[in-house]
Amino acid sequence: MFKNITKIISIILLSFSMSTALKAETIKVIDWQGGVVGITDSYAEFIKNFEAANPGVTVEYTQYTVATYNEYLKPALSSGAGPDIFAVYPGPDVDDINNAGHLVNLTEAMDSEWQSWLGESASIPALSRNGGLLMAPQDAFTEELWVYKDMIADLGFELPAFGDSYTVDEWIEISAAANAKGLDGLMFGPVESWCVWDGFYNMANQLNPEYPVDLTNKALNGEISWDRDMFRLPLEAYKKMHEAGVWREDSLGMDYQVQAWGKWLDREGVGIYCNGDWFTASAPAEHNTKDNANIFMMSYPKINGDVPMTYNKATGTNLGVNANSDNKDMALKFVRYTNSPEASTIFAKNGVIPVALAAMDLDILAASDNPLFNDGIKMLATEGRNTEIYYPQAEAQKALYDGIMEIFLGVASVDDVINKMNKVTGFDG
Amino acid sequence: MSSNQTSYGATFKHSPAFYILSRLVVLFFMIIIIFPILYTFSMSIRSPETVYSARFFLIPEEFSFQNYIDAFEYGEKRLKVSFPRMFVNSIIVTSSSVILIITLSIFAAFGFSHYKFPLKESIYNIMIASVAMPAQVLLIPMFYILLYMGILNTYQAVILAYAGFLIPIGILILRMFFEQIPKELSEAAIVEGASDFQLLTRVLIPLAKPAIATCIILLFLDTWNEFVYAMVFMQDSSIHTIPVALAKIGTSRYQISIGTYSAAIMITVIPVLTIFAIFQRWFIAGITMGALKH
Amino acid sequence: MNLKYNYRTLLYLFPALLIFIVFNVLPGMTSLVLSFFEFSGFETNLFQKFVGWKNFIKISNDKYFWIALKNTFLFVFGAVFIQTGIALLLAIFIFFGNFKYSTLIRSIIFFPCVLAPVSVGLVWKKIFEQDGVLNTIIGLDFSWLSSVSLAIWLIITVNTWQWIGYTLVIYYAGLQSLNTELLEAADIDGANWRAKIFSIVIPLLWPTTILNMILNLIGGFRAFDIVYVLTRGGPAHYSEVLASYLYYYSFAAGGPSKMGVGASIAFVIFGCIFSIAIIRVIAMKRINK
Repeated sequence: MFKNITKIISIILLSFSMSTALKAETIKVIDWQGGVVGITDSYAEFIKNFEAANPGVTVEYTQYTVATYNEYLKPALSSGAGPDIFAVYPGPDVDDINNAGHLVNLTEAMDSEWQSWLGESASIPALSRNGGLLMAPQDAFTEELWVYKDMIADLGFELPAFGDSYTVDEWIEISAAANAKGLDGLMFGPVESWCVWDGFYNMANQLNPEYPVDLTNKALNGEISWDRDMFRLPLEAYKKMHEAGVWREDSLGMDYQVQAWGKWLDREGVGIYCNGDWFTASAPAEHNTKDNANIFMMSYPKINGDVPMTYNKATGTNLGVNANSDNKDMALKFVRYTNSPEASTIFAKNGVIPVALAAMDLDILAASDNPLFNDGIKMLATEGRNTEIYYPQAEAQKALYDGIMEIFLGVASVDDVINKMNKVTGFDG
Repeated sequence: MSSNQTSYGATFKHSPAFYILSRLVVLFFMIIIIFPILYTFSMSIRSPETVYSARFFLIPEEFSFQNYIDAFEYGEKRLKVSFPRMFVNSIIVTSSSVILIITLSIFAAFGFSHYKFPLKESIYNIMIASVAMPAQVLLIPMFYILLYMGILNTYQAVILAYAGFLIPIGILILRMFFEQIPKELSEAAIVEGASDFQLLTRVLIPLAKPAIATCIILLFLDTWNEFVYAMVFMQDSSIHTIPVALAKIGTSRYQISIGTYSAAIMITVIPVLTIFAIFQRWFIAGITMGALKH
Repeated sequence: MNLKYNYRTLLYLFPALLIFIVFNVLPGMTSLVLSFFEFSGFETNLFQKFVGWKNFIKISNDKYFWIALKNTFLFVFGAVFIQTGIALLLAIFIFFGNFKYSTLIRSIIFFPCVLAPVSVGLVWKKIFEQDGVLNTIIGLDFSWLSSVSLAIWLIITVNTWQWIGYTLVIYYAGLQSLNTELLEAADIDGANWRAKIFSIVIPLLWPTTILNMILNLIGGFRAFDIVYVLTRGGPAHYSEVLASYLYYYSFAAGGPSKMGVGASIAFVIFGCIFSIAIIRVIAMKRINK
């Protein structure tokens, strides 16, 4: 009905229409990595190579920022004028977009060569539904904390071994020393909700008595109670760190990618929280050279000294192919290309860890002169627990975020939040 | 302008209390208004290394125009659009919108202020209420409509979208001013045999010049800084307008120093000020002629 | 004037109304109807999942909605009364104060209006930082924008700072259209400036004041950019206004992605303004009697 009305009106107002000339075949690609240097540069090269190999095809690549992405994507997909290839925020959006029928089942579309490139990543649970991969992962990363080595040394502390991280209490100690020198312990940007979630999920996973069973997922579904140490201790840890001033009071109003990261680049704090290998290409040049590899990466704070090493390894941009696209085959070809060995080499060259590691010539990787890039690969290969960070339960996660923020603000207690989570997830008894 | 002023100023000139009070109040607010702007300007002319240190916040330690160069380069490389191009786009969108809206509003306001017709006040109330809807609410339906009309990614898309929510404001302002014009003038014109069109063009519009000028300024503001529709309906970077580009710079993951960002702000602002300064005289001349009429 | 309408009147009204209907009413009504449905924003059929009043019940149970509502009223109060009041004060002082550079002064005060909201937000964010200008001048170490109670007032302050020039310009146009006879008569009577301002100028400016209040009211309800840039509605939704909370529900990354709920919040906004508009009509009828 609505569509008919607009059709009639558009016929009446046809005098306004102007047609935009389209090339022979244009593939539109969009993502939300606006400003991430490594990805922008990699794609520029991908497009050049792809267009050369496929004459008559033009690839239009537009980057949005995280904040504005959905403002474009929702109208575009909903009205059927969506791009041919688009990145999808991992999490609840995957289900919404998939249920609306916009995603091509990549498992069915993949040939064996493509699958061999991706290896295990061809069936990542968070990106698949009903056994079919819905989005092609591009880059792999570990989510972690980065610290300046010289600052740690300056404060009189020692770095942990590679793969290890500081405990909550150690961070409190370090921050106290840092504050005395007018520095922050950690730069934290909780305005971006994943910064709050991902640390929580990591800490909870450290304490997960049934690993690898995903108890967090069960709790988010309301199948088990939130009133258990596995969730209580991380909430208390967050509260402790906030009250001890591990991050500045202002953090509550700071976002991560511009302010927290920016201030860390300005050396206002020792560490940056919820950072990741996606920034290896954007790391400060003077602190990330072979001669001065001054940045150390470590996982989230350990609840105590006895927990197993727990990491947040995940994929960053994940590209879905529009099921309603007119250029589906060519689009699939392009996405396939981004997982190829040639593309992976380009990614590596630009400091992005390609997900298709199985396809890569590891000698090329080893030859990189970006210390953080090398460390990132090492970290991905380090054994330890892995944490799921992309859950589909929107309401429950919203409640969790709001709850933790209220703990920070002193408006709610840990018990309040636990009770609220049980209520929101519908856990009864 | 000044002739108008002195006739009023004269009546207040003999009061020292008013003189002092007015100076104090105006000075106070001027400082509050100017300080952040000077702060931004000061940050933009500092050298990238010393961007965070300054005396009294305002006087840079080192002067440098590096930030401006960086801002231009950033626009070229990362946003694929040059600042001059963005300016042209903004000017095209804003001036077309303003012309369209003010013309249609004048006619419609004339209808509302001088005529009686069924449902007049209901339509008017709906108009006022509709303006309060935030832009994001209308985003998806608007997208559909513009898509079906085939004008997405063109200037027309945004111009019409702006017209949709600014025409009520234009009508609101102009109706109020039209209604303030003394009835006798309209009645006299009609008695002399003027058609309603002549009534509008020969009598009302000249008298409402201050209102029309004000309206133009407001419409200019609302279209110049508008960001949501500009971003979603015109994604083609070659037709980007300034607020979209600034938003992209200010919120992207790329580390951009506050100095460069301040320079970007200054770049977008200085030409606007120049245009403003030129148009000021034109406006004031028009306003004065209108006001002195009676 | 209340002339009888003829076909030409309809001609005058038609283009404006047409554009208004197509590009405002139509999308607006679609959105309002959407408030009775569940819609993530991605489905191709907006109206496939009817949920009746569920969205409205949801927001009425959501404590952050009420916080947003309260903040919106505070914000509108600030815009309508504080902004209008200060602008009136400034307009009178500048107009009657015989300033040599009155045009320059007005342009300077007007200047912030020309700045993009994103820019204004970022500049002020810097000023309000814990180690920013404000704290240094006052000598405190307070985190202004993370304050549950103060954040919204800071947003109101910044918004007033930006838009005061807008209101000032309208007041100035009103002052320039003023009938000078009454003032000259008062002069002859020997009235002092206080009497002239309060008994003559302000009452004569009443229509302009109403206009400004309406414009600022509308602006207050619509305000989104400045809230978003300064605090994103934070900390923890304590400085949300209806427009930003609507955005959170509809578009925010990592948000609930429920545009139906967003639409129901828009419904509330629409309802508020509509009620005020109706009150205005009733008030006008009473005054005219």
